Amino acid sequence: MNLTIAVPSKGRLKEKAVSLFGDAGFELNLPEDARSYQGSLKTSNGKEIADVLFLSASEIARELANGNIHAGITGEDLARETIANADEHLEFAVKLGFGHANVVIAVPEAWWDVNTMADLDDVAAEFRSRHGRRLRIATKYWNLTQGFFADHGIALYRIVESLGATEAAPAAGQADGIVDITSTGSTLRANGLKILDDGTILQSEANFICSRNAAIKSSHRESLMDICRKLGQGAAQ
Amino acid sequence: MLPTVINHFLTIGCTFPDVDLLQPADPFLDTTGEDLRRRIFMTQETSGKQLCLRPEFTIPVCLNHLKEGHEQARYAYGGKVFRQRSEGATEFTQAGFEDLGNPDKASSDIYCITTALELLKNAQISAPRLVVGNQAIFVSLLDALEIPNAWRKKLLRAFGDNARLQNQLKAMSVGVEPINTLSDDIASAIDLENREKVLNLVTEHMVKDGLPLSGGRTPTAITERLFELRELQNTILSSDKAKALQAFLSLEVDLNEASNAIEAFEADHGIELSGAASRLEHLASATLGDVASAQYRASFGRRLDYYTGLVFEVYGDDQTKPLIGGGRYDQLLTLLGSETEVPAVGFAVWVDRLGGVS
Repeated sequence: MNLTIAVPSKGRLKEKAVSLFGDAGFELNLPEDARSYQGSLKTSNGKEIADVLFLSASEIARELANGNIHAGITGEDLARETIANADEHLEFAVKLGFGHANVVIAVPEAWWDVNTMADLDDVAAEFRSRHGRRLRIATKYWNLTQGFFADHGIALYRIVESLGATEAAPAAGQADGIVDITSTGSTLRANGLKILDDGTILQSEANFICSRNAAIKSSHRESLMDICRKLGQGAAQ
Repeated sequence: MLPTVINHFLTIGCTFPDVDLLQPADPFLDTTGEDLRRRIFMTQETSGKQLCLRPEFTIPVCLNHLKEGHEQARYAYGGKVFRQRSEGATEFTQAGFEDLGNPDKASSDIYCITTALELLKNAQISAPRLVVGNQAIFVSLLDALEIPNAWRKKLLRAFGDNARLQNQLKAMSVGVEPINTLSDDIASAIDLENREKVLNLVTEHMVKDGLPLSGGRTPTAITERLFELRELQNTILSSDKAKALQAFLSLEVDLNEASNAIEAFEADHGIELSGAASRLEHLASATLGDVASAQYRASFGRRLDYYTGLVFEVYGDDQTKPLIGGGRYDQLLTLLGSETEVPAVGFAVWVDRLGGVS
């Protein structure tokens, strides 16, 4: 198997990733056929060093964990959400300096009495007896939410799956609070929500991630380390 | 060993309700919380209804009790349960006993423990060791010390987890920082103890943000907790009370000595724990002779909000893995939809740990 690297197949993450390789002195050849999802990576002197697959961002995390690809670019939030115990399977090798997004827990601003996870714990504990049901959190980040709540000793809540417009769930009466990504917090504020003081679950950005589960030849390992080094220098600039 | 256990339950006249292997997941997730999802095996019907492999029997047995509309009954069960665990088998055999609806709590507690001990005797487990605790005694201590309600709820919630409890006690002895993000009008209304003004301001804010005023947290609930937080800020635990709480929580004595220890504690701190000493004395005399040792640990409890009183564990040779765990859970049937409180006590047996021919 050639050294195989995956890059997001669309959107801003793809554009940024392509220009990042260029800045780092590589040549990323996009597929000639628009329907193909395979390209290649060459060094500045034209030597082909890796196959490049264009995949969806969450698929990249799964393929890395399964060991089907050696490395890939995707958001840390997606990788940690998709793969349980991510650090056992993935090495977050280079932070790339784009795609910044925090995964946060937010509750209505009108909850003047709730500003910390400890406050939320108090509210969750009494929710059933006061309101006849458990506290509900809307999110698409099931794993990150469960892990973070467990770390804070909060068990008495329910997750409501939300696949879009999560920030509208409290006003719609579908949930009491949310876990979602935000970059500036302005969407949350516009929806009357505030982030808890200690409610940042993850400060995420795009990462160049290596698989710990893919078999790799020593010559390929050297190429991969070279790519990491050059991407790291590029990202630091 | 399962037939021996089942046989014992048949001998004492228990009812065996049918409990399907596939169970609706919601009752488990609602009572134990979302975190359980990672520890059970979930699946779903094509309709989208979430099901799980039976992770335990108590909740289905209680639901069945409510569905059949029984007042009072003793149930037993035995079979496979399924849980995701970091180590050990994910599929194992559990049996157990539940005494539901018995209003005489003291004697049903004792019946429950003695049944557990007799069962072990039948299973050829010699000289088991018993450990008991009782959250109700901790509640009487909080009453006697007149701990403010807001703190009391936090302490009760941490009971059973010593690290959390110690953190709460530390927080109580230094007090809580006031909220610095309150708007001026709310802050001053709270200072003036003007509940109606606070309620109006919270309501206005919720209406402005388009939040539903019912069905979730209500303006009243938010207002009440704002005043609760004020209570937390304004009360600092006195060192006398802190000492009494610490002395109580560190009580670990032979069950035969427990009533004396409680009486000595009461005398030392000038308080009364209603009926605790005699309850422990009854428990000691009822279990005497069936155990190699019995210990009362004042801080022993389970951190699930439906456990309310007695808890116990019985160990064999292995000091770390109990053979039997049980307790009183008077709040569970209310959580499962009962309109009135149903007294409930029971235990579960880790059948695979009993050894012998299965």
